[in-house]
Amino acid sequence: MPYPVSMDELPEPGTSIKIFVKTWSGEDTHTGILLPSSDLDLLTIKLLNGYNISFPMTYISNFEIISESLKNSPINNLKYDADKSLPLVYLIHTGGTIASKVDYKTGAVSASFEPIDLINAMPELENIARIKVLKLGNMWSDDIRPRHWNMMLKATEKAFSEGASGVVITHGTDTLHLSAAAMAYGWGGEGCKPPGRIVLTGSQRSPDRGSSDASENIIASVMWAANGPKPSGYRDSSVIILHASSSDGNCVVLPGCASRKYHSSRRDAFKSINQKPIANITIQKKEITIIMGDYEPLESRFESQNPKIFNENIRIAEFISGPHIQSELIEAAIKLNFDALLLHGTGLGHLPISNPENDSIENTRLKSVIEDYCLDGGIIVIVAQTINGPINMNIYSKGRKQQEMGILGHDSLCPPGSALVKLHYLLSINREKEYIAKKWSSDLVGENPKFVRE
Amino acid sequence: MEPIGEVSDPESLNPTALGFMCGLEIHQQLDTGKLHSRMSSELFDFKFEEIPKNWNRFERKLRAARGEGGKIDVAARFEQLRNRSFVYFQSPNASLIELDEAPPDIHDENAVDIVLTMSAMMNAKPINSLQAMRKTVVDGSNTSGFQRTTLVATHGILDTKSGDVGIDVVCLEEDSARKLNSETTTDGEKVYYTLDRLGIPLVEVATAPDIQSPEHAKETAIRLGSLLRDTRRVRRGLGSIRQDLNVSIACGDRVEIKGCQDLDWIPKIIRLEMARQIHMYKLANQLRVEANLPLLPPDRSNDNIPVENRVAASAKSRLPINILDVSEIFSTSESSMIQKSLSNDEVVLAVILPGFAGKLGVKTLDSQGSQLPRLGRELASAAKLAGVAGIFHSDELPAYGITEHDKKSVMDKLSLSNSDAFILCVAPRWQANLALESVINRARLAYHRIIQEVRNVVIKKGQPDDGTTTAMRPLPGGARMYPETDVPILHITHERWLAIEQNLPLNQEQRYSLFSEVEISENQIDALIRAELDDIFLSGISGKLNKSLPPLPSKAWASGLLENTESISNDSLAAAIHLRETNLLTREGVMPLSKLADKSNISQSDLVSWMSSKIKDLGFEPADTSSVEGAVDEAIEEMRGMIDAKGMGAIGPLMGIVMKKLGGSADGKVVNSILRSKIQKLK
Repeated sequence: MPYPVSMDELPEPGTSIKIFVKTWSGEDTHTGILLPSSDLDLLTIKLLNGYNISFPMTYISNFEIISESLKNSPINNLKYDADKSLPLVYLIHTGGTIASKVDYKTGAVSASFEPIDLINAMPELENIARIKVLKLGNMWSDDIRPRHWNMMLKATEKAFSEGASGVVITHGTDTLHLSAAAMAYGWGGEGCKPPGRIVLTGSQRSPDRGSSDASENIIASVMWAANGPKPSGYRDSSVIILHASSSDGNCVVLPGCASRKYHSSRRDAFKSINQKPIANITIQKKEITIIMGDYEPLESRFESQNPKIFNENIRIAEFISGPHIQSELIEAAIKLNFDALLLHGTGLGHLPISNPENDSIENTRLKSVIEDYCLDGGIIVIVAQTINGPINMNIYSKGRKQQEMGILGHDSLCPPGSALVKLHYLLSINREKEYIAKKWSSDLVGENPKFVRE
Repeated sequence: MEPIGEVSDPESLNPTALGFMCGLEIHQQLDTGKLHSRMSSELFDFKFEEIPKNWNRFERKLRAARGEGGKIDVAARFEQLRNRSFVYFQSPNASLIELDEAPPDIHDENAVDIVLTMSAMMNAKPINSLQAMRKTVVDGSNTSGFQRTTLVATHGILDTKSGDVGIDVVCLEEDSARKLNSETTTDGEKVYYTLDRLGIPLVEVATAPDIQSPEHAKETAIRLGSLLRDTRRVRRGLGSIRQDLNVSIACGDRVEIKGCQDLDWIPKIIRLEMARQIHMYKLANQLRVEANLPLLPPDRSNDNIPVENRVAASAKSRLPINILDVSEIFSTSESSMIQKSLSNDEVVLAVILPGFAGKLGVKTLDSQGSQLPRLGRELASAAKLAGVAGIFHSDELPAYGITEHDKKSVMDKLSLSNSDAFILCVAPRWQANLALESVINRARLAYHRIIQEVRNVVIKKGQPDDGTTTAMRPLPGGARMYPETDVPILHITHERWLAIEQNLPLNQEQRYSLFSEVEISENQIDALIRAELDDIFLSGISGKLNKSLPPLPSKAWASGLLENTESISNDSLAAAIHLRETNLLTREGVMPLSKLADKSNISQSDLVSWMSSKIKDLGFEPADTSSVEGAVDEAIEEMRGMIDAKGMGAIGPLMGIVMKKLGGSADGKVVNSILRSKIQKLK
């Protein structure tokens, strides 16, 4: 019987070892560098030819140490001498792999947030802005909660208080548009504008690969943060900058209050909804150019020094309208005292609440649950699950009936993701239904323009 | 012991005496769909100008991956300066995965099975947990910036007639995109690729350095290629297999040579490399003697690192990077090429190589017409890393329109003695600077043993030019590999491995042995095996192919299979041949009727009855011999005059007349033989 080796007996990662394995394919030996294990029961070494091979610990009958781990010397001792005449731009990291790098010795991907590493990776930045860096955390964006919106708002406030022309928030892409909307409402919701530019960016291909979109996205974002137009507070309180198409060389500047991720994997995953992009940024051999779209700062807003913070106790329940929506779910949310319900209606904003063939009692039940809740002052807002296009509950009798019942949401072009953040923002100020009703059809930061042109 | 043998006579070099070591790497495309997407492996044979207009195109750049660190060499800096972008054409078999716009799929199961099969055939040990890796690639041939590669097995053995060769690794990798064109624009360089080939599975087999001689390398390549083909699951044809060589001798070092597709060239390529390594070793020691430096030991395993460091420091101080502008001298040059460059704002820059006169060499051929090794050629390769077309060096001047007078002027301007050499580079200033820096770096290495590097066979018109190679890049280490985290680890079960081991394909010998009892010609046996039709042939003559048919006659079935150029299904062909052999169908009817049956989707058991019902209507019913004879008699009667005049030469026209009389239903072969015998009788 082979003598199984336990994990505790292994030397530290980086040590060069020879392992003796006994598997169903026979006995064998392999020599390489021990890697940190990603799995408790798996031993992984990097062979001299570069391949990693892994074996379950139970297959390892013995090992010999060839040579001790080489301590990694610091990669460089270079100092970042920022050009003081350039505008200050803060890079605020929330996570994602956008700023990660690979340790080519071990193959491990680690995160680096040092300005010098960023400059080394993207020398173009050196001539655009003076870079400072702030790390908020290392989160997948799908794990982000409203408390993290507040952390981002406070971080931008700190950056502006230090004189930053702009900030770039690097963010996982999944919920990037929600955080972007939070920045827009937080800074501009009360008719104000932020003191500087706020950009959210991310990457769809991790930066370890030569084909990553991360570098161009960051370069374009820093360009906007340093040299974009001063924010007017309308549509541009925060912007999202990522690739404009599957090709490199062109990034798009989207309104943070009215955009979303519409593709799970492509580089050009983000689109503005119901409105046009604000600008494009082209990245050519030596030139990075901002090309403005038909962008008119419509309002003169007061420059705010402090953003409005979201109330972290607000809870909103979201439901998707369709053949499977059931009244019991809605009732449960009501019983659990959610502050508001956000329903993703079909088409122009509809719910299954009529029973024309007299065969669907669920619809009748759903109607009565909603009716009772609204009568009690409960807040229900409808958004468009079609993503694009208006909520208009005047067209069909169904819609008119829903309005009569007290359902909010009519007359809005606000895309559903932004609507969730808008609802949270409004509830943070005032939880009265009348207030929400009054504010819903207004256009706080550019999320609900007067007309659709797209 | 000092290396023995004449550099000028590569054929005379003795591999064993020189400490020859050689391994082989083979890349062979597998006949499955793509490895990490579920697209087909169809290749679209378009040239750049022929790419359909409706294929989408995408333009991308590759950035040096972050944190790769280390020193930035000339090639990397050139890469930054030349601003290369890549245009990819989306062929119909390129999905978002090939475009690097969606994560990869797991390994194609068939491809894994094939490589496991190959591993078992070479007695290699499978890796239990297959982990895809990313191998960094910077030339744009992969949209992702890396190639996915998976180690599948290690420690195998290949038996060759001259002895066993160890198999170090068996890997499964993705093929690269196919380069169509490249052009220089004002904004940089654009390289065009089509994505049809990207992602086709390749098996990579690397042997241990057990190959004993240049001839054994060729033998090993042939043996390995045929073993892989024995699986019957590899792609065939141009470009479906590629061979690389790893070669060293004791006084040189390991060099990887790419582009050895034509196996007949392998021994020659290896011998020329041996000669090159000896030449560079001797040159290094000559330089060391002149510089009063300690000599290189004849065997690299005796190298003394502190001594080499000292030599490197000395070489660096002897050959500083001191680049001078000599454009002025050439303002009146007779060289039209230099004139043209100067008028395009380019410059002529020079560097000095003190004491190198005569060491760069001039082009000299060996008895078989191959260029002999010389430092000048290596320096030119170094310059080309910066993208310039080449350099001029003093040993080969005057030439290329540069006169003795020009040469003298340069030497005067640079204050050179007759023992000094110089190098000129004509290019845009930034590029010439970079090229000459690269030249100096390479010249410093002339004091040392050759470096480990990747070299390319010089190819002209699709063929090796003379078997020599040029330097391409330093040998990459394992450092450019890291895990492909988007593809989960694939665990190979013992059951799967056992199933593979128990179902190994037959080898050539075993296949031939199955024909011992079969009465067809050697040529036909060879042709059937080569076309991989032997299995279907054997099942046809044994009656296993179609239970409703008797065993097919060997000769007719072999010819039928070998003549089937229109991909008619084996079942239809077998049924038609059966009808033909039982004299119910004319020879002319076999192919058309089979095709019709394929089109009509007739089930195997119904084929014979269906075909029989169609024969008459289609006019493929054979005339019986008596009616053929009648028709022949009639025709002879009618054309008697012609027969008398032409003799056997009349058979051609007579055939037509007889066939017409029989309404096309006769067997041409039968008609011909009856005609022949009757005309003979007339005489």
